[in-house]
Amino acid sequence: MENDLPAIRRCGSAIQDCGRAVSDHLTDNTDGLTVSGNTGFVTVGEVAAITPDWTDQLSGFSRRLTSIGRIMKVSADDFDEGDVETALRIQESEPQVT
Amino acid sequence: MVGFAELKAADPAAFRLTATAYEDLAGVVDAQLDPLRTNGESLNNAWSGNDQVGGTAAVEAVRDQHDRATIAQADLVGVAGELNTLADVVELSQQRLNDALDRAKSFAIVAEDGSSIRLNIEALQQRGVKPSDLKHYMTSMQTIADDISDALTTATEADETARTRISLLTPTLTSNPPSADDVPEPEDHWNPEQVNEWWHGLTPEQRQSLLMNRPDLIGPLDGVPTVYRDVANRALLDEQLNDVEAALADDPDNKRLLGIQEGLLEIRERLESDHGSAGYDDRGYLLLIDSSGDGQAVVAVGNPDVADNVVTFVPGTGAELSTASGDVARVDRMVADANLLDPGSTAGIMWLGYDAPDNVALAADPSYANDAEADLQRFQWGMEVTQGGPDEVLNTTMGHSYGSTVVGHSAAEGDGLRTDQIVLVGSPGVGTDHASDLQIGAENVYATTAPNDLIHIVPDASWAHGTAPIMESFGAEVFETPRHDGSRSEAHSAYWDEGNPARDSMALIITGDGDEVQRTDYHERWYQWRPWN
Repeated sequence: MENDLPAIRRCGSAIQDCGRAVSDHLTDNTDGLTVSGNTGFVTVGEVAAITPDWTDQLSGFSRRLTSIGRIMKVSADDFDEGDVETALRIQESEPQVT
Repeated sequence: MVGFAELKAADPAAFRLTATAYEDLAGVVDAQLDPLRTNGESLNNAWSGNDQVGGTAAVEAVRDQHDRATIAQADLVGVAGELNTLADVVELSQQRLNDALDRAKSFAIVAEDGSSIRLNIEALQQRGVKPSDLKHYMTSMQTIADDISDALTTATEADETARTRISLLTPTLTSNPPSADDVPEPEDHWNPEQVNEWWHGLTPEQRQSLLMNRPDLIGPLDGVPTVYRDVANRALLDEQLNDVEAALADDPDNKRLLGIQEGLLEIRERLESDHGSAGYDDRGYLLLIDSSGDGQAVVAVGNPDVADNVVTFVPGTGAELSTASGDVARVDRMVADANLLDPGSTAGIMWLGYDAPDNVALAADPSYANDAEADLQRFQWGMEVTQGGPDEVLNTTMGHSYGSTVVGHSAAEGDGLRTDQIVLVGSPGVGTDHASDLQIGAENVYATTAPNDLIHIVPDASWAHGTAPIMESFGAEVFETPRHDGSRSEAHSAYWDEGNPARDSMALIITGDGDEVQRTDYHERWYQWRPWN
């Protein structure tokens, strides 16, 4: 049975698009993720504390998706390089576990 | 502690603005879930020749990112929810504080920092207040001081709760969740309040582990917030669909399996349908999915944990998983109608969490309703808990046909149903003879039946389901549904059809304006004085 290379490329592009959608949103919308004013409310500080975690991890998620998508497209193009290459590329693109 | 000056200067709108930002971010993540799932499946099919190791790694990587993102979008919604709840409490507390200060103006002086309050003797003397009346002003002053203190305490407690809960909503997109064996599970005997407390005590990684490894535990668990049950149940739906399709491969003509497959696919289609353009939250949330027997499903339209009004619809005879999407469509219509009257206010739930009788002959048997009581009671209790308590949401439980019998049994038995209003549509009887037996006050029980609804033939007999709720003796608030143009059996199902005025009445009731619904009186069954034609 043969791989459906055009389908693999389309899936790769679609997954890259998913990654870009998240990163595009983060580019213009992180300011609103913290609470202005409201001195004395401890929630304000807590939201300020978690927001960098969220933006960092979502950025990482976005990069991971664009990376996986790119690897799929490259693999479809370079198909005769064999098994291990694709799996290794994907493994190496994984973010560090925190 | 939120101080006097801080509460006076608080800006609840700022909390809401940030909540919206988190909701928007959740929406963006949510929008990627279906493309990730479908492309993961397509990739699995496309990568079937050489390079299987790479293909498998790619598919697993996409699936892993999809699973992590489903939890992330639920957590982001959670952050938004906590901020909105805090904003509401701060607004109310601020209002209470300002009301107290207004009352104090004419006769007392409150310190700038709110630390003390004393009588304004000069002002009182100018008004000619006698010394003998001072005691009255001292009492009023104490009440004002208590109101100020209560406002500060309420705001402080809400702030602490929001902080604690938000601190547990850190992202787990890159974390290594513990094994499910290492995560404490709820006890079987816990009620929804205990479940909710347990859930909010989990670390983010524990929550992630349960959602990834034990969706079967979390999906049906009353007391867990809606957004997380939805994550778990969507995973279960995919699993059950795979199982059904595998079974059909061996037995392709099995009618039951074909029906289950159709039901699961239609529910998934509703969950994945474009949402957000309706002008209100019409996202589907899956609260239960079970493919055994005739199948059961509970689907919400909009998030019932955060809405102002929620209608829970219980369908009747013949309801099963293969036809559940039709009942979800009825809820879609009621939610749309309610949000036209009161924009952004209302969510709905289609509750098929019981085994409904398969046909009209079996519908005379109350045992189906008896068996459903505990499940519906527990479900509504869980909703009350995740909504934040009994006074947060106007809950309406609506039963159609045998579904009304289920609602009636659940409301009349034991501690009853945690609901504010009941609506009984096309009801054959609810197992009791007076609306007051439903334990929410007869004035909160509504009923309607179209004049040519087939259900009229069910007699008012103790061996059936008792007095029909539209009869005067039942004591419900009866509203009219006009005669249906089609057949009697069509009339039984036409209440949610386009143009049926019954929908207008339902929308008024669901949004808290039941007083505006025109009442009608039924002294006897329609068939007793109008010949069948």
